[in-house]
Amino acid sequence: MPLGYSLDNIGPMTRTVRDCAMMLQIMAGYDPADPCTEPVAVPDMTAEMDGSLANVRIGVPGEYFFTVPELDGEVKAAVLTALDQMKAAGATLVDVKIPHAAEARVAQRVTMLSEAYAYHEPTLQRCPELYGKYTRQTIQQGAFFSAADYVQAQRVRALIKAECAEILAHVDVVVVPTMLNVAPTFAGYNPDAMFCTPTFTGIWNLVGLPALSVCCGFSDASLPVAMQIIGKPFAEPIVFKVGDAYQQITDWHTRVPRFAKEVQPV
Amino acid sequence: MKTPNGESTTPSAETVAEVDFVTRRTGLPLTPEERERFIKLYPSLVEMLQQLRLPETRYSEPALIFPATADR
Repeated sequence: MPLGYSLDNIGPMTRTVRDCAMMLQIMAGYDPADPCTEPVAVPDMTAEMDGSLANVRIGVPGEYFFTVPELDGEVKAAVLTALDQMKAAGATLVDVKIPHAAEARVAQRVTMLSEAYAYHEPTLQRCPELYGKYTRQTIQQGAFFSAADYVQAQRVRALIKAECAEILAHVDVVVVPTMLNVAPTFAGYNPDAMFCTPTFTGIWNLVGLPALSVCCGFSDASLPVAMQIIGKPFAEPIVFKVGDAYQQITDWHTRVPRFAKEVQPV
Repeated sequence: MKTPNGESTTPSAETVAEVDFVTRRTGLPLTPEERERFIKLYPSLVEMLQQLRLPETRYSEPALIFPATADR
């Protein structure tokens, strides 16, 4: 079932980056019956995993991704520490800038919800009770966007795509936090508050770049913090190389949140 | 009534009319709770959409965004 026609794609969730690469190796590839796939040869996803970060150029877009006031201090500190560790392991950090990163949030939201609404409209009209409360309320937002809003979102999308391509012509990957905060609890969950806050994931979905989220620490409340490693189109092997090399020098991916241990059956 | 950020506000008659118009036009059977939520969200939504009106894209070539070829 689609959400956003031009955004939907699938990816594996695994404990290690190597497992993720091996899973994607099997999942990726051209399917003539699937117009969402490209007739591009699938690279060897593990080929570049040599545990080394030497000569890897990491772009760090400090503006927006590390400066928005909503960014949690623990998240920021964990990602900056991870960048320092990768630098110490041989990577070169390069300051980069995505001038319209903030507008990506709006363009992605308008694109996703307009496309989702287009698909779900008849069912939302006839049988809204088939949807969960939050899913229904989120997709209903698409009804409030105009054709001009959608077209404008695609123009902004093209602009940001060009900005990302310019950056990735000079670095191997880009690294940013995955989320603003650690995972919220249901007690404090407010989906409408998310409506107004920055996001760091939608932009890569919007411009079609491969992004890998890797745990890079735990908060004081024992909730995981993660960073994203983003690469050029179809350049997953270098993304996996960087993520795997980071996991070779850290052990965050082997740890378990405290609450998960508490709810484990005896 | 409160905004998505929790600030108290009174919706304008125009906002209520806009939400009711969209609801009527689209045929969405909103519950009273959902209608109130959209009345609350609508001003933020309008403000958000203004962010897409960038000078950089005002005169950009549409064909760069929606290519006419099938093999893009």
